[in-house]
Amino acid sequence: MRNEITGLTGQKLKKSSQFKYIVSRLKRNKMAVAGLIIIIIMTLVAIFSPWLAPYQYDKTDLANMFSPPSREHLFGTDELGRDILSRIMYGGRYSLRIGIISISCAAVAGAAIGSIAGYFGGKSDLLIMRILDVIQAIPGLVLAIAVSATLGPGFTNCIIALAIGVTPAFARMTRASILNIRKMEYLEAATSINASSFRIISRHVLPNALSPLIVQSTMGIATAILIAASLSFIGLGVQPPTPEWGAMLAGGRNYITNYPHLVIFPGVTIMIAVLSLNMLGDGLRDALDPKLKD
Amino acid sequence: MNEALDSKREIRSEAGGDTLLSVRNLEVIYTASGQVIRAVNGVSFDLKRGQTLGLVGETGAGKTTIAKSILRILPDPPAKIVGGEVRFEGEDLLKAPLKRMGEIRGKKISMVFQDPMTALNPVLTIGEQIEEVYKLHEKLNHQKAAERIAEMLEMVGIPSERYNEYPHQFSGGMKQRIVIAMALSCNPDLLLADEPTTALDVTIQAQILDMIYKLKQEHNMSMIMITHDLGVIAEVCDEVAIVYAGEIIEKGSKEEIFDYPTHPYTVGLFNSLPSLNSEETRLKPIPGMPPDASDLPEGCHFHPRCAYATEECRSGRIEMTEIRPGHYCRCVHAADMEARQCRIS
Amino acid sequence: MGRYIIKRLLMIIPVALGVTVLIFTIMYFTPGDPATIILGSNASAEQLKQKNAELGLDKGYVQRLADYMGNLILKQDLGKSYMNNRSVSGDIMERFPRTLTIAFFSILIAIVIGIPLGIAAAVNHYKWQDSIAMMVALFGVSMPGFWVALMLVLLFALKLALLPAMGIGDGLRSYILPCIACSFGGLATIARQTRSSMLEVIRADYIVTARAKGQVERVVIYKHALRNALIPVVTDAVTSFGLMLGGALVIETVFSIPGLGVYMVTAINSRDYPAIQGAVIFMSIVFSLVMLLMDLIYAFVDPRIKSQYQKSKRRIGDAK
Repeated sequence: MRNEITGLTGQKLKKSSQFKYIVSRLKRNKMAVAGLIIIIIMTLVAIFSPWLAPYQYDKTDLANMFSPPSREHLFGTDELGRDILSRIMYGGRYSLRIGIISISCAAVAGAAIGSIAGYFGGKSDLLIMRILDVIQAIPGLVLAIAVSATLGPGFTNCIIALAIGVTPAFARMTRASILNIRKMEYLEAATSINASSFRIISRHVLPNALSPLIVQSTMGIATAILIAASLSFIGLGVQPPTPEWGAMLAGGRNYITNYPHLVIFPGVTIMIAVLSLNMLGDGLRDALDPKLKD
Repeated sequence: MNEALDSKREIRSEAGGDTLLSVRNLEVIYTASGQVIRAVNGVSFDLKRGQTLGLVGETGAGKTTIAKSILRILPDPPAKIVGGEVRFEGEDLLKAPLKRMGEIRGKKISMVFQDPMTALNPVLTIGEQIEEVYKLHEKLNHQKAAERIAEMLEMVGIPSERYNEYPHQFSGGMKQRIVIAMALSCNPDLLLADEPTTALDVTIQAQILDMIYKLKQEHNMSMIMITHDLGVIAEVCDEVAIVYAGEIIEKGSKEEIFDYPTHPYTVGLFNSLPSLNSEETRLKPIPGMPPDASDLPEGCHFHPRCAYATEECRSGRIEMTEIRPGHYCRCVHAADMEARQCRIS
Repeated sequence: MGRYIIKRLLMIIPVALGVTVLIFTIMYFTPGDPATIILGSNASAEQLKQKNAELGLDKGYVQRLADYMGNLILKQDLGKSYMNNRSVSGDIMERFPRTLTIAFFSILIAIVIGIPLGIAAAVNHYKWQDSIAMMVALFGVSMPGFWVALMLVLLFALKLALLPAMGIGDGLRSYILPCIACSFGGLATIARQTRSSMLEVIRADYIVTARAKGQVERVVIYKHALRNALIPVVTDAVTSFGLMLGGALVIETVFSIPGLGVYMVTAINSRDYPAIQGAVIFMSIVFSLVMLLMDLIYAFVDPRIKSQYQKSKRRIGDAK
């Protein structure tokens, strides 16, 4: 009850002030801010890597194979003498893009499917839910493996495989929050003062369905980066010599005994990216959760 | 009705005498995101054995906080008891070690909560939950405890064979009966009843209230009844304390407070009740909103809402004064107010 | 209760059929001619045609789907591998126990460590123990499982030489590193969920009731709070188990454990579609059974759900 009342008063606040309120809550969370800053830096580095990277990512230097971290090569070089730091910087273009694009597609598709199911209900809901049941009966990674096995490896196919796997979760979540919101008393209140259904949906239903979607997307990008790395690692995602981080790990694993820096640095990079997305996601969830409002 | 009231008074004077609970200058603060909320500001009162004290006030006035401070079950953080004494049978509970508190809670002092829907643990049967009390305080084995529980359940009107059922299988009124059975299972000396009927249907409110009153009389307990309902006070209390913004602003015997309400806030409370005798068709609410506890008004905390407020009311601490024998009021205009009351009556 | 289990078991059937149709259809549209894969690119057109007829690939989609489903349902037969002509179901049954072993011990580790870690964090909310535990958990969810596996191999197998780096030659000892690597993500998820749900439960009214009874704090936490807090953790534990089944597939490849993961990767690399298809369908059925297990655990830990499935013997009402 208390939450619903908070929701009601929350609705009365102007949009901008509510947004400001969430931003101020987010700002107070140091972990979330740190996560946001790190992920922005990583994105910028990936975008400007051709100018920032000390070497060309694909420039082989057979005289300098497997050189350990040094002043010239901060992260060392790989089996073809390519600079690992430059490859990681450039690889962000693939790894981060896979995460962001696949989750954006899944979020849009999922939200659309979930809204249809939740809003119309009845037979369309039943049919959609049964199809989602079937897709979700296949473990995420296994589905991604099956789809990439069919489509073949590659950057785009990897994105498609991930997006298909994650869409049902987004659809289910959107449907659940729409069903939930439809029951809420503030909607009855809005209906009782004769608000039009367009107004109800745009002002009340969507904003409330949006916040779990935002949180889920942030965390989803993190998971997608992890799964993409796994796919590339077993040879199904992005293929070497593309410097996607998972593919770099796949390339380096054979040399782990003598040259562990080939797998340590790309792995740490994945971890930092995923970690900062998770920190941001946690912070967003807390900032958007009305239950935690003091 | 008068006879009944008289007989209650007799019991009271019989049992009355020694002080069971004495609260002095209790102060509780809540800290939330850097803000300090002064929830209880120097509350003092006494409770004699066998008597019932009613704490009356609006939501958020600090009534529940006072009761929970006595048992020290406030959530810390954010709540913190920062000063005062709670003497129970002479012992200061605020200084007692936690182990000692464990012996007192549920055995000597127990509590009935406002919302029976959430007061019972959903994953334990009601039997298990009552049994805990017996195991803790009377060291009874399962068999013995089961007999006592059956007795207690029958006493509050729950068929004892429902012992093994879960809270969700009972209605709100029945849950409150169970909570009461749990609270009374070790014959406590003091029962803290925190708005025990607020969350219930009107028809069930009376049943529960009658039951609490009857059991209280049978077991010769003392009770603190927290409520915002003056009707409840009229029915069960001997003494009344009016709480506003974490302070007691008026206290005295029920008869004194009902016959001679003096503090403008108390007067406002009575005026806001519908009366069958009067010709008035509209209720007279107290103007304004309860104050924000993180930013209490200077002086008398009620002055922004008070029709009689003068310059004196806006600064300094207003002290409690005894305006009639046993009748205390925290108002600089108490004497004028009393005179006004006399004129009206 | 028994009727409920049977009902839930029956509900798996349409889902399993749906999965079979879906996977079959995905694989049907895969480019590439199986006969060419089997016989190699040097085979004559005649040979290819004969091979396709032998495999039943000259028939239409509906006929092939019907054949596949018929074999699966009547004979529990998932077809024959293109590569070695062995029965796919036989191969899967031989390899799956190894994958299951990894996933099972991983979820065990995750529960046994994750739940106490979450409780410790919640009980010490706002203190350093909480921050440390949650930092560890955050790192745990953020590391790719297979990378953890590589790092464990590097440290314990290659540098310290304490445990085997690959294969299953050392019996259960070979499973130690894979299980630790596989448990990481789930452990962290369970710890985080336990903490947040404990923090929520600790504020509940019935916890105050328990304290007001005079119950000692330890019992309040472990009996009253934990049992309620664990209800949402069940979801995470089961979801993690599902993820671990998937994760085990990748981790197997790091340790060269001949489980279902290695089987699938080999099958994909050699375009052995019946094998891929069979393995995916099999994993989905296992996953559905795990989900059924979750529902049963729910009914066990949450009396509110349990009583939905039992015939109510008594009318709920107020005693008048």
